[in-house]
Amino acid sequence: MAYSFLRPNPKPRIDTDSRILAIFLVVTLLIIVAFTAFLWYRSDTMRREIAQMRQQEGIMKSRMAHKRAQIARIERLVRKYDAIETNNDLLKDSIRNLFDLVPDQITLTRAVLDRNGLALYGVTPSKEVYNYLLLAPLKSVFKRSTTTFYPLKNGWYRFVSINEGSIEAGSEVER
Amino acid sequence: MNFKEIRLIRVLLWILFYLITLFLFIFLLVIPAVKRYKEIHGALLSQKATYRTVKQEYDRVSKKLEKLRHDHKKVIEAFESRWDRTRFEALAKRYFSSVSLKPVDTNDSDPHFKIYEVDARVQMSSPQNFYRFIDALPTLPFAIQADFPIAFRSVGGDTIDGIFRIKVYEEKRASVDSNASKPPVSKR
Repeated sequence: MAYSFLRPNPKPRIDTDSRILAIFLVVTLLIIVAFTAFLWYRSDTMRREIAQMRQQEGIMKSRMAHKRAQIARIERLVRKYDAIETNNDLLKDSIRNLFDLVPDQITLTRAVLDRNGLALYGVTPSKEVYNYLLLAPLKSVFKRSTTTFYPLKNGWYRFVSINEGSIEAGSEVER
Repeated sequence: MNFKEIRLIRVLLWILFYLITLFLFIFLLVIPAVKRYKEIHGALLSQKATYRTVKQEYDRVSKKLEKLRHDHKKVIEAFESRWDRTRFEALAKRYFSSVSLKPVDTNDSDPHFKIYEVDARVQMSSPQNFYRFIDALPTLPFAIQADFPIAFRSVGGDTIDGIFRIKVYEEKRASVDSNASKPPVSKR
């Protein structure tokens, strides 16, 4: 004999409260695990990024050392080139000044410039002309000047002038 | 104990279990992961700062090198060029009526440069030619220094015999190879 019009349902193994709480627990744990996995993934990405940056940094440092050596080399070449140009200019000016020293009355036949001095060979109408017009400026440039005169048949003099002292040109300017 | 009390106790037990599990997960998983993340993130920031500094320095050095190469291209080529007396004679003949060269010495003692010393015997009509020649030396693709001894001798008429020494500086190949990123220009 039935006491109810409803057919009885079998009793659930887990009641509703427990099921809700269990689902809540599982979802929470899944979120935690996912968050942890994300952190590990990001950490690994960053670690790879660091390794990559260190590698690039090493390459850059090595290239930089090479480039610095290149810069030093070019700067050395430029310094040398500037020194060469300065030497050439000084040498040119020295010779120009030397020829400017010689007055029109005196004829030079030979001039030898050395680092230690200057030797001049030429012809002068008189010793006085030589002494006033050439010897005085030579003495102001060189430490010591010695001149020897050889009389010529026409009354003029052939002279040999040896002047000692450094000439400001040449390798002294090298850096 | 009635049914309601049993249900309340069961819910409380569930909550207790939930909290314990949650704390366990947090302590065993989340905290170590966050700690590791923070450490690596700190290292990354520091690495980025170092990298930026190195990169800036690298860019600065590269820029400087490029500028030097661009500004002093002629100077670099002058030292990298191999000595070619034919080209020198061609220039000298523009200023002197006759030119003859006599090699004197090759100096290898300088660590960076090989120096060729050559005596040039020339004939000219005026010392002005010599000055113009000295002024024209930078147009040659060589590093040439005119040097002592220099002798001028009048040989009658308007002709002057001149003898002077030139030093040709050539960068040593080993020095170039160890420094240069590009092969040296050979003009031979």
